[in-house]
Amino acid sequence: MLGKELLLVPLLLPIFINSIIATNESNEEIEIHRLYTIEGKVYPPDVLFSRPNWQANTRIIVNGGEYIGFVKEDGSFVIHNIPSGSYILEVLNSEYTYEPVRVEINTKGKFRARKVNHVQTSLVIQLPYPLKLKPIGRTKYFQIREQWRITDFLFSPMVLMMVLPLVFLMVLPKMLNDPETRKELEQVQSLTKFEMPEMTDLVSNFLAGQGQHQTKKTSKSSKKRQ
Amino acid sequence: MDYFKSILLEFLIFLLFFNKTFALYEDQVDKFDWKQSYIGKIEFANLDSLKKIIVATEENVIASLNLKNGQIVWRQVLENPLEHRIKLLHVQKEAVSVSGDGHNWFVRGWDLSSGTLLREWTIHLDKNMTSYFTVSENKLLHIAAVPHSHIELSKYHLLSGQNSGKSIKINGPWIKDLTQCTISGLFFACLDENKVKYINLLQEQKMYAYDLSDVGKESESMSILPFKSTESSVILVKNDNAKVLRLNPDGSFYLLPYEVSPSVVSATNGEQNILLHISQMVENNGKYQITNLDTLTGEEIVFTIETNKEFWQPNILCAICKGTACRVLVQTLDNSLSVIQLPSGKIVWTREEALSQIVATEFVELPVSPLDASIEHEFDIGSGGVIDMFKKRITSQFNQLKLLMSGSQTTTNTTLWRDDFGLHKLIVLVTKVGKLFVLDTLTGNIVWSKYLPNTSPFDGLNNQIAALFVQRTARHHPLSPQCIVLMKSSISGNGIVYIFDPITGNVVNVKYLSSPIQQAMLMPQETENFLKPLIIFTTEGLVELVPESAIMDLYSYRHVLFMFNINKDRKSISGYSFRHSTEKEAKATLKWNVDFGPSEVVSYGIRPASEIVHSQGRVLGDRSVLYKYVNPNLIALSTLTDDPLHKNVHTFYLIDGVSGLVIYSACHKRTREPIHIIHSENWLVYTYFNERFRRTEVVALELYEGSFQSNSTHFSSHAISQLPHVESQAYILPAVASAATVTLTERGITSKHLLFALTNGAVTQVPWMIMEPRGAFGPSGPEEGFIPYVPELPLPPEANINYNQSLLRVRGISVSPARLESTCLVLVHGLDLFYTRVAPSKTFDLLKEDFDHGLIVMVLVGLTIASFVTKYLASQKAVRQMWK
Repeated sequence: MLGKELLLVPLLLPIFINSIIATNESNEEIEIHRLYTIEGKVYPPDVLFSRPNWQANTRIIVNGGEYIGFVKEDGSFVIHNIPSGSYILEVLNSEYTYEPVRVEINTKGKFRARKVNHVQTSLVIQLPYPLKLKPIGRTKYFQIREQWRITDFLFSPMVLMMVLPLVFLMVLPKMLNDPETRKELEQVQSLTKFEMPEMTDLVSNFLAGQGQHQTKKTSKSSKKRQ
Repeated sequence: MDYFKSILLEFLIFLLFFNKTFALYEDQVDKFDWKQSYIGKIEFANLDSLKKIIVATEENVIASLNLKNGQIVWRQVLENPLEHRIKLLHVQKEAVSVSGDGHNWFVRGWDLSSGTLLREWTIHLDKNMTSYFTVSENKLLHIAAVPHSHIELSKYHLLSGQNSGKSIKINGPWIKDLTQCTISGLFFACLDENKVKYINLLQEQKMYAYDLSDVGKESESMSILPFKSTESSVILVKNDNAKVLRLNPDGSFYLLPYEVSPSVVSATNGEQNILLHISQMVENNGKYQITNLDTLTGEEIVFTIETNKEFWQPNILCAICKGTACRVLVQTLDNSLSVIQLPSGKIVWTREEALSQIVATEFVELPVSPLDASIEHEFDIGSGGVIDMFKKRITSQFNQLKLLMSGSQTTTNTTLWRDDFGLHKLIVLVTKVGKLFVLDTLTGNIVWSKYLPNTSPFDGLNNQIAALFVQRTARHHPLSPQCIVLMKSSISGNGIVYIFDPITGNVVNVKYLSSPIQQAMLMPQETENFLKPLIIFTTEGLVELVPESAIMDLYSYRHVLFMFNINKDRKSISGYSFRHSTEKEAKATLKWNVDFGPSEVVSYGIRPASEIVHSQGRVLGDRSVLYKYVNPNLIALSTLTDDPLHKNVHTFYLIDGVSGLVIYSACHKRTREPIHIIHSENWLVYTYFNERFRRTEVVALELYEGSFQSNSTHFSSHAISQLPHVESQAYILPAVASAATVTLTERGITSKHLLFALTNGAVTQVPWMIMEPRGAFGPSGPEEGFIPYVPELPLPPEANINYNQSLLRVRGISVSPARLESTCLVLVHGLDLFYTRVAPSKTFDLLKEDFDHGLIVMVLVGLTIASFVTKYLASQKAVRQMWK
C-alpha cells in the first residue's frame, strides 16, 4: 500500500502546489468565519443504575483536549467553535468505557462520523450523526484476587508434604496388617494376573531385544573405527 | 494458518503482559497511593448561603468548595489556560461563567449543587478586542473597548444567548488606558486626568465625571478596581490606601468617607451593609487584622487573625456574615486559600493552591534513624579501644532489643526516618509562585513549606521550569542533606540560589547573583564533605560555583567536565568545556555548536544521571553477545521546521554532548507537537503527532555497538571507531500523551516500563519489551524473547497506574528508585497530584502480600510434632518386635 502511494506522489505534486496557491487566499477568509458545532448525545449505561450525578463526571474531549464539551442533564452535548477538519471525539467517564469516534467536517459544513481505526486510516465504517454514544461496558481497572478455597489449601505442596508421608507411614501398614484387606488385595492381584500378561516379562524381553540391537550397532561402529 | 497463529500469539502476549503482570487488586486502592486535587489561583469567588463557595480560577477551572472543610464538591476543568481565561463568574440561581481566548467566548451555566452543565452558548468576535462582561437582570452585557475611540455594547439573553438588538457604539474618546478602566455593575469607569469618568451602560449613555481634586486627591499612581457590592461601586487605590466610590444609577456619586485597605469586600448582614478589609498591624509583630466597618454608622470592629504561620499579603476574596459571626475567604500571595472565622479570628482550613503549578520535583532520601546511626558509628576511626567498642556494641544492641520489644518499629512511618525498603522518602516540590513544599510519600502531607517572595521560574523549551538539585543525600549521616533551588528574581531577572536542608527546611544560604542564569549542572564528583558542587553558567558567560571553595575540585577535573546548553532564541545547542579553568577561576569555553537554523528546538532528552545499566549486552540465540551502545553523554533533541509543502517537519537528532558529533538523525514530515522524548540505557522513545494519518506515533530506537565492545571499562566520546548501529521501529499510540517518562530502579535489573500520561486522564504503563525494535541486524524471533510486532500499542485500563482516578492537565511525571530493586516511586503532577509505586517485573524481591505466615508456622510445627510422634512410635514398635 505504501509503495503505491509513493509512486503517486510525484505525479500529484504539481497539481497540489497549484491548488494550494490558488486556494490559499480564499481559504483564510473562509476558515476564520466558518466554525461548526459537533452535537450528540451520551447515553448512561443504565438509566436506573447509573450514578445520580454522572453528567457532571463525564467530559467530552476532541483531539485529546483541543476542544472540550460537557454533558447536560439529558445526556446531550454540543461542542462549539470547531473549524472544518477531522477530529477524534472521546467520552471520558471513570466508570464506563465509550468507544472514540472520528468526526469529519468538510469545508462545506458536511458532517460524517466513523469508527476510529488508527491502523487502516482509510477504512470507513460510518456511524450515525448526530452522535449517539453508548458505553461498551464497565471499565475494568483491577485484577480479581484469587479466592481462598479449601482444595487450594489441601493441595498446596506444604500440606501434601505433611499429609502424604503420614498416610504412607500410618495408614498403609495398618491396611496391610488387616487380614480382610490382605485377602482383597490378593484377590485383585490374582484377577490382574489372569487378564494381563506378565508385565515384568514383557518389559525385560523388550529391553533385552533392544539391548541386543544396540550391542550389534556398537560392535559395528567399533569395527569401523578400528 | 500463519495468520491465525500470529493472532493467537498476540492474544497470548496480551494476556501475558496485561492481565497478569501489572493490574492492581481492588483492595490495594489507597494502600500506597494518594491523590490530591487542586484548582489553581482563585480569580473570582462567590459565597452563597448554601454553605458552598463557587470559584473560578486562573487555571480555567470552575469549582465548588465546601465552606466547612475546603474540600472540592465538584470541579469542571475548562479549556487550556494558556489561551483561554475566565472573565466573569456570576452566581445567582446557577453559576454562569464566561471564558474565552479573545475571539471566541463560551458562556456556560452550571448547576450549583452538582456542577452539571445547564446551558452553553458562544459569542464570536471578528477582531480580538479587550472585552468586559457584566450581568444585569437576565442580560449579559458584552463591552468591547477600543481606546481613544469608542466602546461597543452588545446585549444577550443570559439563558438562551439570544442577541437582543444590534450592538450599540458609545463614543468614548476619554478611554485612554484600558488598565485604568474597570466595569462595575452597570458602570464602565475609567481614571483619566484627575477624574473618574464613567457611563451607565443601560441608560442614556452619557458620560459623568467625578473630579478627584474636589476631595484633594491626585490620580497619579492611583488605580481603579471593581468592587462587588449590591450597589455599583469602584475602589480607588493609592499607596495601599483605598476609598470606595459608589456610583448611583442616576449618575450621581458618593464617596464613602472611610479609609480602607485595598483588599476590601462588602457583605450584607441582615439590614446592615458592612465592609470587611484586611490590614497589617504596625504593632503586635505585624500580625494581620480584619476590620468590620458599618457603612452607615462608621462603627469599626477589629479582629486579629490568630495564626502561627507566615501570612503573605492576604487578600479578602469574599465574605458572608450572620450577626457578628463572619466567614471570610482569604487568599495570600503564595496562593494559599483559607477561610477565617470571625469573631474568633481562627483559620478554619487552608488549601495550598500553589501545588497546582509545579515547576520542579525531586525525591529525597530520609536519614537513618538514630539507632541505626549509632550502629554505623561503631566502627568510626576515632572510636577508642576494644573495651569502648564493646561497650558501644552492647548498648546499641540493647537499644535494638528494647525497640523490638516495645514494637515501636511501626511508628517509624510517622517519623522522618528511613525505612528498610526505601519506600518512605520526601518529595521536594518547587511551584510557579515560588513556594517550596516538602511532602511525605507515605501520606502526602506537607512536612514543611517555604515561600520565596519575588521569585519566578525560568522559561524552558515549552514550559516553565525551575532548577532543583540534591547536592548531598542523607547517606552521609552526621552531615545533613542539602538541596539547591535556582530561581529567577521576578524584579531583575537575575538568578537566586537558595540552599536548604530538605528534611528540616532550614536555610543554609541564599545567594543573589548579579546576572541571569543560563545553565546549571551538578558536578558528578563529590568534594571532601560529600557535597556535589553546582556549576552555574550565567548569560554573561561567567561560571559561578556553589560552594565557591569547590574551585580546586573543578580544576582537578577540568579535563573531564563538559556542559551543554540549548539556546531557544538562537535555535542552537552548544557544548562547553572547562579545560581552560585555572586554580582561581572557573572558565567555560565554547567547544562546539550545532545551529538548527530556522528550526525550533521543541524537546530534548538526556539519560537520568542516577541510572545504572545492569547488563552491557544482550545474549543472542546463537550464544553471541550484542553489546549495547551506552553513551552517558548522549543528548536527544527534537526540532520542528515550518515547511511550505510538508507543513511541519520534525527532525530527531542524537548528539554527543562532549564532541558535538551528530550520531543519528531522523526526519518525519507533516508532524505536530506534542513531542516527548524518553531516554534510557541504550534506547530512546519519542512521540509526535502525525498529521497525515492523524494519529500519535511512537518511535523506539535502540543503539548497539555490535558484537565487539570497544572499551569495556570506560566510555570515551573521543574514541570513535564506528557509529552505533541503530534499530528503530514505529508504533501507534491510540491517545494523546501530555507527559512521558520511564521507570527507574536502583540497580537496573528490573525490566523497564514506559509511563505515558494521557490527555484522557489516565497514566498508563507500556512495557519496553513490547516496543523493542527488531530489525535485520538486531535480534528477532520468539527464541530470543521477542514479541511479534503489533502496530497499535495496546492500552488496556488494567495498565493504568491511577485506576479510576483521572488526572487532568498532567505536566510531568517524576520517578525515583526505591531501595527495593523491583519498585519505582512515581509522582504525577499537573492540576492533580498523584503518587504511587510501580513494580514493572512484579515485586519479585518481596513475599506476596497474601503470603500465609500462619500456614508455614503450622506446617513446621506439625512436621516437628509428627517427627517426634513417629520417633516414639517407631521405638515402641522396635521394642515390641524385640520381645517377640
